[in-house]
Amino acid sequence: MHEPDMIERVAAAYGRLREGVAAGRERVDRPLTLAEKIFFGHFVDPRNQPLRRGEDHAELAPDRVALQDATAQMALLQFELAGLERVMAPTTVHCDHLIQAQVGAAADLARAVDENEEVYTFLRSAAARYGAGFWKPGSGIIHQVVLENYAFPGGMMIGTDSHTPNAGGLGMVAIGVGGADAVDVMAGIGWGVTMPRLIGVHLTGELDGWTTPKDVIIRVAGELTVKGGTGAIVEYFGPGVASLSATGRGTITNMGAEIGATTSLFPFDERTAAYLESTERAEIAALAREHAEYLRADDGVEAARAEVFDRVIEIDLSTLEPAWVGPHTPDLRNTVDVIGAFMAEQSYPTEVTNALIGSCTNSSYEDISRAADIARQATEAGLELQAPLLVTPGSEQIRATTERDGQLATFERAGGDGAGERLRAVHWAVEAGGCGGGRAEHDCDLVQPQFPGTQRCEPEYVGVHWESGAGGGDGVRGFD
Amino acid sequence: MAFIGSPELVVATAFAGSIDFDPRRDGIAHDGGEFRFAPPSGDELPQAGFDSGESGYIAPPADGSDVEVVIVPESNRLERLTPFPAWDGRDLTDLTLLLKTQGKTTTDHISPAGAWLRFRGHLGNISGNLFAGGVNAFGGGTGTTLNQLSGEADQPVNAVARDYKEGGVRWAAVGDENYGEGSSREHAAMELRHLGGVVVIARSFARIAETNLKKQGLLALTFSDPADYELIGETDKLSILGVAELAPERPLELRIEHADGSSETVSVNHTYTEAQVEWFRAGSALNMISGRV
Repeated sequence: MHEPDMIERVAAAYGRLREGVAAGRERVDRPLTLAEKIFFGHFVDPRNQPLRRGEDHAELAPDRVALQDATAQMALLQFELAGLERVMAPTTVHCDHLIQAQVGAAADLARAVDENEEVYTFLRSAAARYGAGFWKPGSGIIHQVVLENYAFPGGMMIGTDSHTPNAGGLGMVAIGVGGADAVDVMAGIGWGVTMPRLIGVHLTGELDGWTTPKDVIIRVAGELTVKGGTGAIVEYFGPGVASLSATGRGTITNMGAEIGATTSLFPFDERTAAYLESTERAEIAALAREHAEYLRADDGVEAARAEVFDRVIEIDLSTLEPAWVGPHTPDLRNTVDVIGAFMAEQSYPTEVTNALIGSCTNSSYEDISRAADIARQATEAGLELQAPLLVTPGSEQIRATTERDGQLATFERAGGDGAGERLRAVHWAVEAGGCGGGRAEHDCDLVQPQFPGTQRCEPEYVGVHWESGAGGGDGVRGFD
Repeated sequence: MAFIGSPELVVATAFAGSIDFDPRRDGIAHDGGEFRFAPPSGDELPQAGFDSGESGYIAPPADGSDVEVVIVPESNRLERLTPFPAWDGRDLTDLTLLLKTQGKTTTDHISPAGAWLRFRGHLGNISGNLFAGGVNAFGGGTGTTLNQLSGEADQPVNAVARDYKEGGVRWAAVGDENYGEGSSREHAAMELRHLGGVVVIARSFARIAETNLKKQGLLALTFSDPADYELIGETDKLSILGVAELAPERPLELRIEHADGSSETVSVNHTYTEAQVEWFRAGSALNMISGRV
């Protein structure tokens, strides 16, 4: 536990949650969704806050702030002007965006430290001066580190990165913002958003076989399109939730940024508790169990979903199929059985030239383990990679654990000795090519993976990349 | 060209060599036979617990008041900010027009990203991109404007703004519809204030950009009649009247003095709340917090 008072803070947040929900019940005469409960628990004035979705401005008091190293610079410079001794909300600074992936873990990290030394020195000293936690370059992608250390069910945080909603997998309302908003919360100026619309995703059935949490968000993106989530919170509920791991839920809420959603959210359950316990936060898991009724939608929401949500998407996980999205946009979905026909129709080449896994969206222990299982099957049968496979653990913790448990070695074996430059499994620095920037800030130039003629902006995604017919790959704008 | 799928699918496809591969049904030809994947499996959480590896965390001291915030003096990437001055209590009169933009004026027109982001911690340096993408309503040049001190046309907007600042000339910018849409980058507001801007008048604002201008102590105003945008000439002097009575839901007046000596006065709206009026008076929201009024 990195902050000595974290348990007390979570307990206090649950106290406000109880009071806020009580106020909400007096005002809203129907079952409450989880998003509504968490908002009531964080309204500055839960009794009088206007509630019209898409219209009223909500005044909120988030529990935490997370800054990445690019936006943190001006945020901390501005914070100095506030004349405060310490940040008004717990804040962490994460050095991840300024690292460029070019060669491999050690070299990329060393170059980043060299080029950005004055920035890192400033951020580290300013964080120490004003009471913020500091994560050195090499420790992980901001939202992966947040998930492992700070996210908690029922909480609310803002982060200066578009994939901040990753923490929604643990049941936290986590919203990506610009640096100016972060300064406001750090300085106690106050913060707010337009009251979000609510989109419900009703999950039934069970995941199975080749279908993964990624396929759930791919399906949602295909239905809502890249703008369909704008101004909305996407809340997942229903019996199917139980078949998704906590980190799998994080994959879904992370990529919810690609449909423009304010954030996405899953309820707390025993799988959330298991993840908290596994990441040395058993006391928070215990507190969450005590407050479980506040950390999930009311039972009546499922039956009343058509009235409670502005829109409902129904997904039967048992019949959901594995799929791809792309090229160029994350809402163009083709299931694996029809992708070949789609490619033929578009006259696209089907040869894979690069493959990348890990990074910010799919970096969990489960993801790396399952992917390593596929690599192991193929390698044991004597198959060789047909394209370079790049593996990017999302945090130092994931890197160290998958190194200890052998998954990284499995990928390295798949690369094959003497197989040549093209058949290589490369293992990047944990943030290298991590997250290209906040939604507000398309810092694509910060991420330049050394793929032959390929993308710049989307390496945080698991993807298949290959050169297009003319002039090399053209990247996937809008994915960052 | 890039596609996104699950890690399991990506790895299987990297072995198949073609995206036209359904691992549930298709095999891969190998050694005269056919290899088929079994569905992926793996532990959800490590049985031996997580290994935190080489911890990269540095906790802040319980009392940080003795810690020096380090900015190397010769840095071109970081620059300590100085507080913007408080409002002087008077109407904003005889403002020079720095630039009137036409059409889209997004954050990337006001403060382009790209290579400039290297200087995002250095307000003086990044201000070199001020309005570099803005389309000038008088003649349509991009990122350039008339320097009314020197009389030179088509000068880079940031250089003209610096001249005005050095010459003690307070200036205004005029924008079109949805001024400041796009990014929430605060630099797009800070740069104006840093180089001597006091007011932005637009046909309409993107909400975040409008709030950012307010936070930095600028006046963000909209033409009550959007058609009044057309009244503003290149060398007109602009005055905002009624600033001392700035209050929620109470329009201000804009007096436009044309080059030919004629003038007209139109109504301009704003969305300042009572708290935001205090930001303006203090010179910025952070001045307000610091009590530096």
